[in-house]
Order: sequence, then C-alpha cells, then structure tokens
Amino acid sequence: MRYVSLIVLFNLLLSCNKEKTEPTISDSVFHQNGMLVLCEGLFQQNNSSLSWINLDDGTVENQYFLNKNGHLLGDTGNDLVEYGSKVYVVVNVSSTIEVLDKKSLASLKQIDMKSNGVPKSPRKIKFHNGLGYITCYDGYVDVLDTNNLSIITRIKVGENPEDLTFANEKMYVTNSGGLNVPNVDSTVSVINLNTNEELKKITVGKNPGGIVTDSDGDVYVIARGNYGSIPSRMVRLNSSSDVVEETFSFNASGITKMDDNFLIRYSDFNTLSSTVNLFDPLTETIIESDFLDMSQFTTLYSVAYNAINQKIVCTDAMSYTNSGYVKVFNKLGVFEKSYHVGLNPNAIVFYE
Amino acid sequence: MFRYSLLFISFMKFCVLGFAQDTIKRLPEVSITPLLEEKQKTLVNTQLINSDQIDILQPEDVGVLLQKTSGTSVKSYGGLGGLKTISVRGLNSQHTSFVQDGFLLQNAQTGQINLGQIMVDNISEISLNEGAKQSFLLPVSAYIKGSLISISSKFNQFENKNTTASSFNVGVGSFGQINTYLSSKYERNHFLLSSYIKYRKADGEYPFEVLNGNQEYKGSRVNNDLNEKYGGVTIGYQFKNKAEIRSITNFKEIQQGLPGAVILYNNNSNQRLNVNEINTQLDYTHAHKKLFYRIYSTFTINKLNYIDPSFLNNTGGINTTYTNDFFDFGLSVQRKIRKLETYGGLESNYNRLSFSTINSAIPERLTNLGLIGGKYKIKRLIIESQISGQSIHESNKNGQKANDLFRVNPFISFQRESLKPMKLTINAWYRNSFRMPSFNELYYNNIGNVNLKPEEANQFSLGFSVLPFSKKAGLKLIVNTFYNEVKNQILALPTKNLFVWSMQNIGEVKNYGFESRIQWSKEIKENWKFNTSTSYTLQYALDFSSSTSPTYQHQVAYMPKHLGNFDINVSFKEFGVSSSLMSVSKRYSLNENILSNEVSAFTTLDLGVYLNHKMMDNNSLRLHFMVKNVFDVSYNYIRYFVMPGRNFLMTLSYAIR
Repeated sequence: MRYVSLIVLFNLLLSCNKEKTEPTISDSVFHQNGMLVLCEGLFQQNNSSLSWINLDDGTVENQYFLNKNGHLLGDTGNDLVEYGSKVYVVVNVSSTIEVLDKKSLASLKQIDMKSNGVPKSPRKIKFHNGLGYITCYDGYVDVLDTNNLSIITRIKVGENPEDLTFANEKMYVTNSGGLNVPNVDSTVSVINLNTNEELKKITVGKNPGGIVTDSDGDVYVIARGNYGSIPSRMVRLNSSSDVVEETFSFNASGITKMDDNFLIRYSDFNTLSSTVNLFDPLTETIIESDFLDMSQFTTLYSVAYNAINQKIVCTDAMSYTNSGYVKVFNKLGVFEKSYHVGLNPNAIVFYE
Repeated sequence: MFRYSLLFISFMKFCVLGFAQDTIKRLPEVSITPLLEEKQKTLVNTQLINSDQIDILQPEDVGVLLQKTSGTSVKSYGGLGGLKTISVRGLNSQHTSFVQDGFLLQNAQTGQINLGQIMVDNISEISLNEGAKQSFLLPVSAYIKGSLISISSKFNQFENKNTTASSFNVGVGSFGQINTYLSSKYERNHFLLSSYIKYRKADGEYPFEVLNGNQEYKGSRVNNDLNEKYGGVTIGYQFKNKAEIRSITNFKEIQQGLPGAVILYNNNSNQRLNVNEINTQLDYTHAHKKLFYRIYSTFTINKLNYIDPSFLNNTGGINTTYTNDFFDFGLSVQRKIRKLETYGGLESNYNRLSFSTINSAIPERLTNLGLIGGKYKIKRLIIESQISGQSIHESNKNGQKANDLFRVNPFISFQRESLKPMKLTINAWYRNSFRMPSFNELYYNNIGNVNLKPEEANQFSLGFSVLPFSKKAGLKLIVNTFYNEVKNQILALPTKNLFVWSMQNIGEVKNYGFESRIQWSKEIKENWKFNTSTSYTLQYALDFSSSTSPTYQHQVAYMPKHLGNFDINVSFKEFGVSSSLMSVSKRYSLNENILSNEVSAFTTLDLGVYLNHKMMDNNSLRLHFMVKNVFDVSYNYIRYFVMPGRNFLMTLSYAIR
C-alpha cells in the first residue's frame, strides 16, 4: 500500500505534464490575407513547423501544420513554396515533400524522397512550366509532376546542389559541395530543360548558394566563399553565353527579388551583424546601403518580399536556438511590425 | 569482524585495501582504523553502491547504475551500449573525474567518460564523492574536480591470505542480449594474479513508439547492434618492507551501430562506431612509519573509428579514426602529524589526439599539477583545506593552439560530527574548480574554437546526516543543499549558419537545490531482511548568460528539476525480491522553456526475483530474473533517442572460492 501511494506521489510530483494539444483536423477555413511561415526547427528534433500569421487581426498560430493535419512535418524543413493551388514543403532530414492544399492547408500527399532507401536530402524547390524542380544533396535535381505529385525523373548535377533558377529555357543549379568542406564545389550546372542534360558547368567561386534571375534574364549567384579568407560575393552570369560577366566587390550572402530590384543581405559571422542593401540589377549598382535597420535583429535568417501588399518581410532566427520572429518593413524600408513564431523561420508564402 | 566488514565496505580499497589490512596485521603502530571510522561518519557527501546492490539492480552499465545516486542526472542516448554521461548537481559531465582502482580514467577528446562503456560485472564498489575526498592516495587530479566517481574492482586487491577464487556470470535478455563474464583470482605468498574476460552482444532491435502529433509513430530500433569484448590481467606483489606493487592491464573492443535519433519518415541508419582501447596501469605503494606514499602511472591508447556511409560527400561517406593517447604519472603522499593529517602530491599527465583525416589538428596537452591539503581534527570538528596548482601547456602540430594557462584552486570543508541525540553530522564545503575545453571543443574541424577559456565552477554545499531513531532502527536521513555558479560555460552554437556550429564561452549558469536520501535497512525477524532507500533531488540549473536573452533564468536544456528513486529489497533466507522505481521530471531540449521544447517526464519500474544459494566450500550460485520497465513506458532522456520498453533479463552467476 505504501508502495502504491509512493508511485502515485512520484507521479504527482513529476508528471505535472500539460495535456497534449488536440489537433483540429482540417476545418474548412479558407486561408487569406496572411503569411504562412516555415519554421525549420533543429536537426534531430523533428520540430519543423508552420506558423500562420493572420494579417486581419495580427494573430499568430504556431504549430499550424500539426493542428491542421494531426501529424508533424518532420525534421529540418528547408523550403516552402506555392505553385498553383498547392503549397510545397521540402523537409530535408526527413527527406520528404509535404504537399498541402493552399486554401485549406490540408495535407494532400507526403512524397517520399529516398533513393533505394537512402535519403536524397531535398533542399529547395522551384517551378517551371508545370513541373517542380528539387535540388537534392545526393547530387541530383528531381523533377516533380505537379498534377499526379510524383517524381518523373532525376537530373544529374554537381555535388550537394543547393538552389536553382531558370533563364533562357535553361536551368541553373548551384553545386555547393558543402559536405566536402573544406574542398567545396564552385560551379553552376547549366541544364537544357528539353533534354534534362547538363550543357556545361560554370565556375563561379567557392560554395555557390542562392541563385536568381533578373527581369533581363541575367543570372545572379552567391558564392559563399569559405567563411574566412575568401569572402561571400555575388556573381553575374550571362544566360546567353553562359559565362561569368562580373563578380561584385561588395559582401553578399543572399538575394531576394523585390519587383525589378534586389534586396541583398549579408551576415558577418564575426560581428554577428547583418545588413540589407537595395540593388538595381539593370544598372548593376547599389541604390541604397543599409536599406533596412538591422539593429534589432539577433540573427537575420531570410528576407522575402510580399508583392501583394508590398511589404518586406525578414525573419530573425534568434541565435538559431530560440523561437524566432517575423519582422515586417514597408517598401521604403521602415519597420512596421514583429510577429513571434516558431524555431528558425526561413521561408514564407503570402496569402491575398 | 566488525573491522573486517568496515574494510569490506570501504571505498578506499583499490590498492590500499590490501595494504591497509597488511598494515593492521603487520604494522600495529600505524593505525588505519581512525581513517575508516571517519569515512563511516562522513557519508554525508559520499554515496556508495556495493556489489550486493549491483547484484540486485542488475544494471547494464555504470551509467544505468549511477542513476540510483541522488543529485545526479544521467544523459543517455539509448539502451545497451549507448552513450551515457553524468551531471552532478547540475554541473555538466566534464566536471566529474573518474578513478578506477586508484587510476585516473580520462579522455581529452570529449572531456568525458562514456559510462555506457564501463562494465559493472567486476565492480565491488562504486562511490560518488562530492566535497572532501574520503579515500587517500588517490591520483592528485582526482582531488580537484567538481566531483569524483571512484570504482573498485573485485579481485584487484590483496586479501592477505592464500586464495583461489573464480566467478562466472551468464545472462540472456531481450533484444538478443547475451552477456558472459569470467574472472579468477589467485593469491599465494604475497603474490597476486587475477584476470577477467567479458563478452556481450545484442541486436538491440527494440520496438518503439513515439507520439507524432495525435498519431503513434511505431518502429523498431535499427542499426542498434552491439558486440563488446573486455579483458584484463592484474599482477601484484607485497614486499616484506610494507610495500606493494601492482600492474593492471585492461583492453576493450567494441563494435556497435549508432541508431541516432528517431527521424520521422526516414529510418535510414547505418552509422557505425568501433572502439579499441588498451590501458596499462602500474603503482607502488609504501608505508614508512607514518608516511604513506604511492607512485602511479597509467598509459591508455584509445582508437575510435566512426563510419557514416550515407554522408553525401564525394568520398562515399565518412570513415575517420580518432586516436587518443593518455599518459599519467604521479606521486601521492599522506602523512599524519599528531592531529593534522597532511596529504598532497605531484602529477603530470599528457593527452594527444590525432585524426585520420588530413589537415586535421593534432593537439597535445601537458598538465602538471600539485596539491597540498590538510585535515585537522578538534574534538568533533574536522576542518579540511586544500590548494592545488595546475599548469597546462597546449600544442598543435597542425594549426593554431589554445593558450597555456596556470591556475590555483582552493577547497575548504568543515564537518561537525555525531551530535547527540541523533548522531547528527553537519558538513559544509566550498570548492573552486575548472574544466579545460576538450580537444573537440578546441580543435574539431570548423566547430572548434582555440580561443576558448576554461569553464569555471564555484560550488557551495551544506548538508547533514542523521539517525533519527536509535542506531538499531537502521534508518538514516541525508540532506545536502547546494549552490553552484558556472562561468564561461562552453556551449555549441550555430554561428555561421545552421550547419556550421561553433563552440563559445558564453554561458553563465547558476545551480541550486537539494538532494535527499532516506535509507532504512532492518532484519525484521530471523532470516527476513528488508532494506529500502528513497532519494529525491530538486535542482534548478538556470541560464544567467544574458539578461536580454529569451532564455534568461530558464532551466538549461536537459536538466530535470526533479529526480526521484525508490528502491526496496526483501529477502528471506536464500530468496529475494526487489523493486526499483525511478522518476525524471520533464526537461527541455533547448534552453528556451516553451511547450514545443518539452521532453516528457517519465517513471520506470524494474522488478526482480532472485535465489542466492550458498553451497559447501564457500561456493555460491545465484539465479536472477528481472523485468525492466515493467509498465512498458515509452521514454527518452534526449529527444527522439528512444529508450527500450519492457524487457527481460535472466542471469546465472556461480562463484567458487
């Protein structure tokens, strides 16, 4: 008897556990005027999540995917992109792509990204002519049929491809080689989209990362260097001749398109400070340095542009170990509002 | 007889036991008894687990065993063979030193010992010591860290009689577990020879279920196999001039799968770890009138081979071997001058790490340390104080090196003993100590940071032990309160991006709380024995790094606030039943104390029945059957490193004397 009561006592003492939240399976709410934020989580914690920011009333609901679908996204969500009526979540360590209905956010399918049981480690997804193109760290770009949601082919590229863009009916894939540190890759693969074959590899500089196409069809890529003696720089490629035309002399670690201009962010890993500059890719010059005030940021993690309401939306990863913030600026660079979201917010889909 | 049993439960017995008995027998002028009596009384800051308790608990390894001590929280990354480390009173594991049979165990690469790789089969006693060290002639470095875990092996000491003894264990358990252990000892004419060998294997494929939202995510632990071989030989000789020499050689060879965390939707797991270790220890102990001294040396080579065939680099995966060399040499001295007992010594130790990968650092560390201490007794008050100095010289044959340093650290302790009527003993102590950054923290590829400073700890403790009723009642209560401050805590933080972490000296943590235990053992009536122990620990380990941080004053990651144990054992003649309950409160997987970081509390219960059959000629047979985690609780110490559910273990032991 004494024994039983001790068990009870121990349980009372120790398991003052809050009740697990009961998920509310897909109610028929149609999401609008808001921001869907992917919170990456941390490696081996299976804590990728979505946060829903309602712009009508300014409320934030974290763990939104779980609440809508009753299960977790998985480990290390790297990318969130909308295409057509769907939203695609690329989950890197779980090696899956979760496809959601954009309006209801109900899960339509979880695409398993394994090759003979070995994870492909998908990183980024972009869309072109009805097809999804997914960089996979095992050295391929997977092509996704967005109608039947299945992988139709794999395109061999370089090592640990990071990001991709389209220009001139070609695909440009940054080969980071990031898992071969310190012997990283420094090339961009140019792929013929008709044959899905590599046309050439362009050497752009060490550890290529983000890549975008401007309204002229020029391709801009970030070569991240070695986090030391070799700085992180932006490089411009000509998509007709497929050669490097210019390596810019300013620091850059990420590019975000804002209408015809670029927001170029840079994070200094020694001072842990960040800057966001406004760049014009037609004149190839910085229009305004320190365009956004970064003094209130702990860890600038991503920059996005909401073309619907013309706002700049940055995320703060708060040293990567604390729950993050989404911070909104107007198009002139004036800070407006901050929202508290989940761990490591890195990508946003905007809703009208 | 009483003296003998005191000796038997003593935990200074590594080499000194034989010596002590020898002293008693051959050196009546050197009385060792007062030391032993003191030890009996000063259990306020020492917790002992002897081989009888180990037999009852049937733990898989020392990590599982130490969960039964109060004030400690174990981090376990899995069941059999999984990495296990211990944190004492909220200080992280690198603040604890380990001594086995009087020799230091050390790994400078990680700065901590994997308790999952220390076997329990040949342990005669293990102690956790906070505050003043109760043993003497320990390696100098064992006196100066935050806490000490000391292990005494069976058969590694002289009994001063002609003996031939052997023991044999065989165990089978769930998940393909097989354990065999054989040891023997031969002692004749002051010559000692003993040896042991152990083989253990398991497929480790235990089923698990984790909660995935409102769904159960079920699976079976894959790539969790284990294959271990341990062995060792001890040779010793007692000279006529009250001296003794001993040589101990141990080896281990471990091959295991590393199952990693359970990753949702991805059960690919094929990382492997192979460990090969050999160590040779030699000591010479001598009593010259009232001077005791011991010269000791240890040499260890540890090779750790890590393989990850699915790592997506261009060499087809990772296959790296880390070689750790450790050499330790020292002199430990103790001398009694009237009421003052002085002790001290000098020690040099050397660590070297080399990686099989090119361009990696090859760090070396030479530590020279000296210690002087004294214990003075005025009636029932014992004042003990010590001061240590350490000079550390680092070098790196391939790249930048960490700074050299010199540190002086004090320790002071007061103890008031046996106040009537309840034999109240009060104990208070303060220790200032530090732990060096490990080689991994300083030099590991991109992660290491050669500018790291040592992590500093200031520990304060106030405690008491009391026998609330008569001595006959067999009830004992021990309570310790503590307050620790850790400065320059070394933390891994992602600095460059999420994939590039780096070590930083940014943490400041304050720990406070108390640990309490009640022990009650009683012979109810003839042939009926009953003993029980209950412990409860409350520990706050709060982040004081930065007042602007969202985690300011939050409980640091993986540090439970509440820990509890309840053990009961009843025996009648040769039969016994035992039950062991353990509870760990909820923890957070990151320093931010929010719901999404919560790791659930758990309580596990183990039950056992055994038969201990004594035969003629001092032979004994033991049969033990255990059910572990009776309620099949799904739990984990580290998020998504699932622990085994209900499992069974049957052990047969036979001892010949």
